[in-house]
Amino acid sequence: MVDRNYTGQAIGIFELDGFMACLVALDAAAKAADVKIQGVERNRLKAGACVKLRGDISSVRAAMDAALAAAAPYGKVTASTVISAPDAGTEHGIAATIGR
Amino acid sequence: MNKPEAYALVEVLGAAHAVLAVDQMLKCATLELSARETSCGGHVTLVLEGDISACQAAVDSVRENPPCPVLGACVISGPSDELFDVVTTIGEKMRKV
Repeated sequence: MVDRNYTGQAIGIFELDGFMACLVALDAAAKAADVKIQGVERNRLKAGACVKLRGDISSVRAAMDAALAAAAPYGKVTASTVISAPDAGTEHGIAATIGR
Repeated sequence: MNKPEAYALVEVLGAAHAVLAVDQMLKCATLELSARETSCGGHVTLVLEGDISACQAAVDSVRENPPCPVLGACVISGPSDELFDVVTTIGEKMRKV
């Protein structure tokens, strides 16, 4: 989770209810398309984690599908979304919770 | 530290159970513990690295006679650079403790 400059790139966020499922999905996403992982954060709710993908919109969409397909046997999807053109303010919101 | 050939991932409930699982896996195959992530809800995720056959043997041994209730176990072969970055970041956090 090297901090690179992601401004303007599409965002793909998905949250699964298992950290192991997140690692499997993260790996599938990185192999499926040219996306960078901005952060992986545990949520305090149960044992899940949220993964943030960055890259151009077509890669993020392809990576998201691959990730959710790969994680299917290991955990349920809590939420997943793709933001194609994030606003400048969103960048801060996305980066604020990483590394807590 | 270069990229390993494969990762073995195991998720158990409870830190004490995690020690049992790691001990069994390290005894049955030549692996290295690269990361341990604990969170609320008591789930502990263990990431061990080594070559594919060792990871597979470790995961199989945990699946066949589990030392404790195992929530999930899998092998990721040929990890991507992104996964390697994530696991090293978590590993560094673990070693600081």
